[in-house]
Amino acid sequence: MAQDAGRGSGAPRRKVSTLPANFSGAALTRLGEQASQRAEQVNGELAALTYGALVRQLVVDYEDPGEVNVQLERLGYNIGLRLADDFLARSGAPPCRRFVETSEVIARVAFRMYLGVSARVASVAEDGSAYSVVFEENPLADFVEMPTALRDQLWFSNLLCGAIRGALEMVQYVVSVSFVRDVLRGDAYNEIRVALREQRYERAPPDEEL
Amino acid sequence: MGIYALFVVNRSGGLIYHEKYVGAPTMSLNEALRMASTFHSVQQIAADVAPVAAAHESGMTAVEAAEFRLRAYQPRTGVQFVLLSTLEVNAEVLQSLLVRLHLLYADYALKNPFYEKDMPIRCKRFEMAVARLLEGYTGRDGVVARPVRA
Repeated sequence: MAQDAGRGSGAPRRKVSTLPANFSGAALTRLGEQASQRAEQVNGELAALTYGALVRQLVVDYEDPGEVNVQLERLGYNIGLRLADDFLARSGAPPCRRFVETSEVIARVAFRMYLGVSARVASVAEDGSAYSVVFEENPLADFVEMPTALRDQLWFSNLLCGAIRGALEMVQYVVSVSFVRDVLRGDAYNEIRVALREQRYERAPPDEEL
Repeated sequence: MGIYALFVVNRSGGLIYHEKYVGAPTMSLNEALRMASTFHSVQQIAADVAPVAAAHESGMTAVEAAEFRLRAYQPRTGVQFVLLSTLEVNAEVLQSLLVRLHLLYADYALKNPFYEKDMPIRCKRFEMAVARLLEGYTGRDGVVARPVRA
């Protein structure tokens, strides 16, 4: 599985020119494709309708769209915490040594596996501590038309932000994730911004008795 | 004989699942817990003394003894899977079983909404899946031993 990623290093690279060879776009795209084919498929309409009903109910229950965003993010976070192991076990994605490497893995492998769409990485911060995941198609929002009252306040697919945050936290990256653009708001594409806040290390704290 | 013990250790060193099969030394639950957390500590030390910063599945992966073989697998999320077997079980077999165990953990423990993360795994379907996976590697002459609970 992981060996496949080694090939295709000649593929054109995106902005992140310092990524190792097995992080090339083409190799990761292929990995995502393979992983999504191996996975069990679920009816997209069922998923979209279920998610739609959930958001609708939250809007009714909380009344405040800002609070709905928070709740959706929280739901996603709990999914992400659980999904991280599934991703590691199934994807065969190469291990990330630096935070910036998670960008391509999320965009090309994870989005393909779990949403069935491809995303790409854009606007990587110079020090590699933030990046955007950009995608046009969003299966969660297939049938959605936003009412004017909610349009500028609700991030309909905020669950995705939480899922990314939860999954990255499981591999010791504490991040903040938020939607920047949403097709539902009239933008040309969807953009999720991921920014690193802290990297944790799983080790014993330094001995303070000297 | 074959595989005689399985441990799943969470990322803080707590034992969250364990199975004993034919041939396993008698061990109380307390002893098992202590061994799991000791193993976790040694794993931490292994990471600390490594010359390079480890990126993924790293640390102590194997213990070879005159009488048994231990293989451990720790994906980046920090959970650990440990299998103990007699020497006739091939090391590669153990390795692939560990990877499959990780999949089962992701499927039957983590995806169960009522399973609480990092807590002991008490999921019937996980137990059954583990039993199916290890069938044929446990017990004598292919006879599967009933898991012995502590």
